[in-house]
Amino acid sequence: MIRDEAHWQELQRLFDLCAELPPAERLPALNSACDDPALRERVLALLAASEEIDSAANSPPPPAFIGPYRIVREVGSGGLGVVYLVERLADGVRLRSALKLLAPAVADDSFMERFRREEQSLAALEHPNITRLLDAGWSADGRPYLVMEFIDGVPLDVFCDSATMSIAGRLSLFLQICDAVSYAHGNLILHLDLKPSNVLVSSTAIVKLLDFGTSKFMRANVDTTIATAATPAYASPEQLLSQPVSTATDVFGLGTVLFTLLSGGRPFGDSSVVARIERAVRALEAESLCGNVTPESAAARGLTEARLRHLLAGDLEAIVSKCLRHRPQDRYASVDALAEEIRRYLRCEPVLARRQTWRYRGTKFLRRHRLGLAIGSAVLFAILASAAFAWQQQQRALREAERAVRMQTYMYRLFKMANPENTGKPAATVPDLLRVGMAKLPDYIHDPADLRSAQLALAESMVDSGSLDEALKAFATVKESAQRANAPADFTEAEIFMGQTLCQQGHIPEGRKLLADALAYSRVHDIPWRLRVLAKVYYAWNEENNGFRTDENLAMLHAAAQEAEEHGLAPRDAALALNDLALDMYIRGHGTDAKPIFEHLLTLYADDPLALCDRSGLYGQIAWIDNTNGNPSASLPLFKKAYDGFIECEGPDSPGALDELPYWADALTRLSRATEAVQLLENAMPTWRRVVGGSSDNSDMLYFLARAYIATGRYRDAETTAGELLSLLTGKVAAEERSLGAAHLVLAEALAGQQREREALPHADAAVTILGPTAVSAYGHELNREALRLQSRLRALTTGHETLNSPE
Amino acid sequence: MTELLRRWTEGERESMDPLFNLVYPRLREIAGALFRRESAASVLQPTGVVNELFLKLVSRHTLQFENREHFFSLAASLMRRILIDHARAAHRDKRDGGVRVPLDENLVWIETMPSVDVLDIDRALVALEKIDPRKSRLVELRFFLGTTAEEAAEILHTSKATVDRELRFARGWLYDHLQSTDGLAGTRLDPR
Repeated sequence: MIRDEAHWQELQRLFDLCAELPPAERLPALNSACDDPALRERVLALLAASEEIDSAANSPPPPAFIGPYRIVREVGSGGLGVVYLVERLADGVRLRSALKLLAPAVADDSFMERFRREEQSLAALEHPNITRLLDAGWSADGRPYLVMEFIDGVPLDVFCDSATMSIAGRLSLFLQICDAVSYAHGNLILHLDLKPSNVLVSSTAIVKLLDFGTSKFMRANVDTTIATAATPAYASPEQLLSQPVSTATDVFGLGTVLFTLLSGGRPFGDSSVVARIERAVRALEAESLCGNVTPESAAARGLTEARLRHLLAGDLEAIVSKCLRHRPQDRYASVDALAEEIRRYLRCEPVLARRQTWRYRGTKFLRRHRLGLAIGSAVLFAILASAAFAWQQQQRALREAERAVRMQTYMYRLFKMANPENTGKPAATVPDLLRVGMAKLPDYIHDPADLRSAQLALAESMVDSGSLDEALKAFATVKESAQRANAPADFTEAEIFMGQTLCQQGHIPEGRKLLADALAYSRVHDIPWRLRVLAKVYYAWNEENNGFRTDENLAMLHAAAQEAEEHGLAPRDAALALNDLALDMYIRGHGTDAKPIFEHLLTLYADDPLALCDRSGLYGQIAWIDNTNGNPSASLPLFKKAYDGFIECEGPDSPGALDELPYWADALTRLSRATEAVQLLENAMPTWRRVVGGSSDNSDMLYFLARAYIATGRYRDAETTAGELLSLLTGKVAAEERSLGAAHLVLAEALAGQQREREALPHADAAVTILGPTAVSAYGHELNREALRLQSRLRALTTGHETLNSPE
Repeated sequence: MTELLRRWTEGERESMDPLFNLVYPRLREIAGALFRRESAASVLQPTGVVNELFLKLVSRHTLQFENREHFFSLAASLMRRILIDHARAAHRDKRDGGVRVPLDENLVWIETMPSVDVLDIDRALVALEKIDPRKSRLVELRFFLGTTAEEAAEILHTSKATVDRELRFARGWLYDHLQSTDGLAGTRLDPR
């Protein structure tokens, strides 16, 4: 017996030599390469061990029966397990089905119990594109299995490629998938494992989705949700990071299917679970669709490589990447919204895969608060309270007791649906809940006027939670019903919010028209003061915000705020009027005049426990006005209040809390405490990258960090950070947007600080070009002045250098 | 932290201890929770553990991503250690169900040796580590952390072909070591 460590290198060399050869040639080769018989024997032993492993790794033959099912043949295998075609005798009839034998890891003791609980709701899924789940059980050797309808078909991508199907044909098939998923979502069932291999196409060209709802009786623990995904290549970031799943998780899954269907590649390549988690933690977005085009994938679509790239670039790339966004709330709000987008593409209409920004502070302008998407009891309460409020106003005719009972039933149902403990389903998100709530409303409210009122309340909450398409549908329904019933108030309200929502989606001309119509209508009809005020506020604000600025608009906002007070509007509506007036004053450069209004708003919100986020936003807004109007020291305690408030209402790593930090840091920088500013932002960077990184809407973190670096003389770090900022914004925001100008400015400063004037000058020029026209607010002017100063300094320096260097 | 990692990857394994102390208790807790929920066979998925590790090390800014090689090696080593600790506890509890490591299809061979469990594999790995620490790191990465061959190659600064070759050899050696009674009885448990 030899000691391995004494011959280690030689052992490995001889082993490799033999392992590369066919078995018969090994011995002669070994004999001629090595003359030590003991060493040869050792190599052969290791080779034998290696062979044994390889043969063990081949899967063992299947048993004849699993449970009561006789195995006919294997029809496929994947990471999750093996699928068999099986038969079972029932009443003398031989029934065929598919049996999926799973790895022990994907289920636990409660597997059957949870299957029984879900069985009913899954049985209710009657859809031509969804395969039915028939049975589940444990095999004799302790592995869980599922039995489902047998589909004689091939995987989606194989089907499309072998038929050399065109992009349009593939998109039509994809719409069938969306339809099935949307149907399931309507029944509050998520798929959570959507990927190309889970979609079969039958011999009759019908798409069939496999494994619907099965994720629910796999392991319940969030730590292991990934265990339900066969290959990590398709799991969503929230699944990888053990965060709550929602319909947005399925939008992501659909994105992976679309990615493969269109390009032939996979959105995250061939990564292990660990590597995917790393990507998810770093909030890295998926690979580019066009980058995955190969000569083979182009040929399978009947196109040349260049032509396929050209087809995918632009709209389709934007659609797929919106599905695959890291943050669930950045994806399409629903499967229907995604399907509608695909239809728009097929009809050659412009797609909407771009996000509106609603921020007005810092390099942008201001922010508006959106509701968090994960369900929180406070949010749920707010929705229900708003629905209840609308009802109580309208349902005076109903007897008190009857009203209370109906309300209770409705709320009970909603809570029951929202609570994962009750249903075994993943926690519903606000959009899920609103959608179901909206669908169920007619079951509980029969009076058309009451129904409209409740629908409006829920639809307005849908706008707050970002489900704009769904909200639009609801507003349209209300508008139509109000027109038939000749109810001018509901008609106006629906029209106002439709207009506002359209503007928010970027359909500015349509939105403006509706808002103008609503305003005109509100002036001649007898409707409540609340709606007259809202018509003015929304009309004027949208005009101002979309670049149609007139003094009449400002005057209208003034009038609306005054009327709100005179006619005793509810605090929520009065606050809205005041808020939009103050914001308008702010963006017109009258921040100091707007400040007392923001302060007054704080008192309006003071007693509302649900308005903590709003109050925090106001503190931040006031702090920013102080900071940019020569009083940064007064802003420090306010920034802290804003930050602490967001932590309390949204959580420590929330976008709201993170948003405050760059502005807070700017105040520190101005107070010659830039080292603290750097520290504050550097500490927050990893969280920022994880939570909102990669989004051009939240780029102020990078901007103010770069500024703080400059103030501490760390020009190299400033250059790196500014470079990242610029590449984040380029192509994502409009070429004339202020944030882009600010990015150029800070990069120019970082370069100038390193005496690299020639490189700095083009950036300073770009900054001046952009910042000039956007200089309205105090901060806008400040940036513009800075850019002009830097530009002229750099010009002087570079021409100076040229003189020095010139041969004359 | 970065310095500790560097020393650790350069072979000073004892410099790992402060790192372990920093992250290990919480990881153990997560892993323990996973095991408790298991039925007949104990199976550990790396997801929860790796997640926590990332969040703890990376998001607290204690570690830059330039050190991702170090990070992955550390994660792999931690996974191994968690499994071993769990297996020891299981032995102590006298409810030896055998702990399986289902992280990679490459591990199917371990399941075919019914008398072998994680503790045996650990002993064999300790023996391998003494001769060739690099190969033992490779085994940890591929089998305990479940990285792909490409990823392991990137982490170890080498080519996929080399990784495949070295792994084939290491696997054969481990299997042989596990089979020889000498290997099972002869290697003493590392007291670490």
